[in-house]
Amino acid sequence: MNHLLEINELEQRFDVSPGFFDRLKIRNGRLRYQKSIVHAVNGVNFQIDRGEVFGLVGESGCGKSTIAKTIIKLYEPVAGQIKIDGEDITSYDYKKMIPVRKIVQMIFQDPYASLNPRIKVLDIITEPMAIGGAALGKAEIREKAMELLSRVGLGKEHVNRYPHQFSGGQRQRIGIARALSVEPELVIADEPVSALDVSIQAQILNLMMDLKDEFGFSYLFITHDLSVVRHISDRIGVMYLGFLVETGPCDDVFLNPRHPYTKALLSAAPSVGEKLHIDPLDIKGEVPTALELPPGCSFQTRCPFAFDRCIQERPRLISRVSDRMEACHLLDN
Amino acid sequence: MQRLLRKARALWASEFAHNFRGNISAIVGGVIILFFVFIVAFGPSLVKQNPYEIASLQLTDAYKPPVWLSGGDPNYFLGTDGQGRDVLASIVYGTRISLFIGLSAMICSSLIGASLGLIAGYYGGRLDGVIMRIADVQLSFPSILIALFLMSAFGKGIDNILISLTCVGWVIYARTVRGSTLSEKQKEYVQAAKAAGLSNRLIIVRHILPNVVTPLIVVSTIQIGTFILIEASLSFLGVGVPITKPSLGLLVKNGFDVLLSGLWWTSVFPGAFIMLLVFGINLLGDFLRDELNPRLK
Amino acid sequence: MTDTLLHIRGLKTYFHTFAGVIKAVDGVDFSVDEGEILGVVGESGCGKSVVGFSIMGLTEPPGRIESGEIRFNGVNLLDQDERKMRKIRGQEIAMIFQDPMTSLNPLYTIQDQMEEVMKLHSDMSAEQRKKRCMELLAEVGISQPETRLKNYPHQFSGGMRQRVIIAIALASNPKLVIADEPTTALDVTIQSQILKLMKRLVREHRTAMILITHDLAVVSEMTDKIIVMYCGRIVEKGTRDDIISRCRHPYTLGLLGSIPKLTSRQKRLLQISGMVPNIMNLPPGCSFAPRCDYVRDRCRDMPPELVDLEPGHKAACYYPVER
Repeated sequence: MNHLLEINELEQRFDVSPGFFDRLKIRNGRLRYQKSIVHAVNGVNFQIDRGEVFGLVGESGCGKSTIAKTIIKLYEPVAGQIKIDGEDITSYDYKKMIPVRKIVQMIFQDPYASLNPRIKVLDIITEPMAIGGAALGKAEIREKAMELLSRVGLGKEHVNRYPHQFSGGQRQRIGIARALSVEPELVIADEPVSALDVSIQAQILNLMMDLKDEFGFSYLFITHDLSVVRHISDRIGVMYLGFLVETGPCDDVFLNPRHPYTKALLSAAPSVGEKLHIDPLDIKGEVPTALELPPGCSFQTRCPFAFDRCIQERPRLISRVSDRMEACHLLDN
Repeated sequence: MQRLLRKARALWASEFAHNFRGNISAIVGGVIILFFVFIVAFGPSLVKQNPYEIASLQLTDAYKPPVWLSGGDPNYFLGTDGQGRDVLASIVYGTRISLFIGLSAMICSSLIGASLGLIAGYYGGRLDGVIMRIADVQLSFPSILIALFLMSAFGKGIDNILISLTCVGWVIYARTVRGSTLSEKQKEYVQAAKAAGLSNRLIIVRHILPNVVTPLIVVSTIQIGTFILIEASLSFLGVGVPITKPSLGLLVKNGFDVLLSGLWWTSVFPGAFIMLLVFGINLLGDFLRDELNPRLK
Repeated sequence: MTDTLLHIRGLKTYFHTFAGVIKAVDGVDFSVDEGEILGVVGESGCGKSVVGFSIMGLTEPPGRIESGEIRFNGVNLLDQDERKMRKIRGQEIAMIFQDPMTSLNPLYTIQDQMEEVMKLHSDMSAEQRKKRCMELLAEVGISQPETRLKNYPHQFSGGMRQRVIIAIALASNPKLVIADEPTTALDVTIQSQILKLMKRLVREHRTAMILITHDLAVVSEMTDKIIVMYCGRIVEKGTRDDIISRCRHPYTLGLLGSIPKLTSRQKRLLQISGMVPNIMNLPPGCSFAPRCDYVRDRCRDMPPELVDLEPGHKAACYYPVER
């Protein structure tokens, strides 16, 4: 049985080099030509199966959004492999991707920028359907749009309105309706509730779970909010500086984090009321720049337990305990 | 019809109209433009003489001063020129030509400039580099100089003028649209369209273009004035419109030779009208720019 | 025995726009004691930021403080002219804004910006100022202060910029610091560092703080007292425990229930139905009535006033939820 989504050693880099003359730098008394490359994703492996919610969590700059956009081919992967239901789509061009786009869809973060302000809701929602697909009549398309709107909790009369007439939460519902219009099997949600108020966030999260139960699709749910990821995920992956440092069943990881960064992240998360029962781990300093990755483990500059192997050798993500994987030399001892 | 009335009423009550009514320069600009629209539409029927019909001219009426000076003739309100042409009538017909050139040049340059700007902004890379470098090179020369050079090469005539003005004028459209395109390209609705599988061409036309139209409108309005001025300068220098269809600029030139001998009205009145027209356009353009500026979300 | 430092009574700040009047703050009363941390919590559009700006006198047209009293150290700030307010700003009351990326001027060094406040409010010599800057940088945990002083904002990360901003705010030992969403733009681990820092400094210097945020978790860990705002009014106020563990207003209850727990998974989150009403067209009666699960007829007639539930704990509700 194929995994619905399989990512192998995925890498993504961005060339943010400044203009030609700024690339010439003097290093060690010599003139060198230097490009600035952001190492956004550095060899990430994970799988998502049918019907599950995989939460990808991490702080800003860890590469989680980049992974999402690379999976959906908004960026071409620099290295690695992306498989959708066993099919290797890594080097698919625009044409070959068209049928794939019916299987994988995306929900975006900013409800104010993810809908074209000049287009009616009807056309926004039905756009993915109209591409390379069955030519449906105008009336049928309209029917489908109204049905989708009521599924996501909006009135059918909203079909003819424009985005600016809706609130943030409603716009996010429209974005969800758009993703669902092609009946995908995998929905990648890139920080879908981060820009929403708490009470609206609860509505949208409930909606997303209800839709999943109804339609049976999987989620790759990307967020920086730990309480949200706890609530919604079956399994989670923790990212740091373009590396996946820990994966496992959500409850397990939260109750018993194994990687030092995961421990630090969970102890830093503020909570209302009851706190997590883990030893608090304070880390100093800031995330290093992704332009020049530290040698060895990416976390060693801030890890209180770093030792010499951490500086020399990059740890691989391996499974030591069933169903859990961590990239940490500490756990080998 | 009903819908049109409803829309008109909505426009009247909108914030846009409200700010317009409260802004003196906008109202002045609006009045000026209305005045010129009136001239273009009804001028020829109100003015008794058609200055292009040589048969209707009376050489004996040459160089008559405006009606309020001694020697003036009520038939020729603003006086006549060396051929007996009524200055007012010449201005009416000349305005039509000047405006025609200004508007046509605006439409041509905006079409070409906006297309190049969209392509450069969206695709980036070498294409963007090439287009922008050409634009930069062009901007290092004064536009009049380029237009002058082109007109000397092509020869006189309205179509040549339009070509020259387009060659000169596309740059500002391209730059403006390219800037807006760059910013819209980053927005998530464009990524959503890509994720849905839309082709690049469709994304540009359906998603990006409607959202970059606003700054385009502002630039276009002010450019009409610029084009009118460039054409006036070209005509003044003798490489503009042909003598048979004098624009306001050519009228200024025609009267220029006798300006210093005291026959000022043949030159000054057309010049004043050019100034008034461009002034009105600029006032309205400024107001539009402030109004259409996206403020707080 | 701590004195009341700030006492706000009946504050009303309205925005007169073309489309109508926005009653951003519509009758707000609260007080802050010396050295106390007060949390002002609510969702977007509830008016919490406007309260902060009103205290500082930074509301710009079309916003206007219609009525009310802001007593700071015995003086009504609303009676003060602009000159007197400028003396107070930065010196007695300091403000920290949300976005560390834009709160610092990119064209000036950190030293310039820190010294600006000192130059305005004291007559220290250049040497004294530099010494004070280094002290402050050390206090907020920035290493190598000597070199860092000469850096520009773009050479600092978001977390470090926020530390600098805190240092600037504390430079003249103000009695009150107003922090408007100070950690919202920061990552979780950095947020934790900054919040700990702020709490420590504020306690050490006995500075009072008004912490404005939408994040109930932050407020739960940082504050002594909390006020909850909705549509320009206070719906509940009390000590931190009153609100977090014993809240009685249906909105506060809904808000707390909407937050997913970090410690366990729930099947469904408690959700407040509907949306925040249009601030220009508030329903008659209680603003929360259309969304309230416990609504009754009386709620739709007249907006409820704050009533005492326990000493110090009040809610604006005719039928506060029983616990």
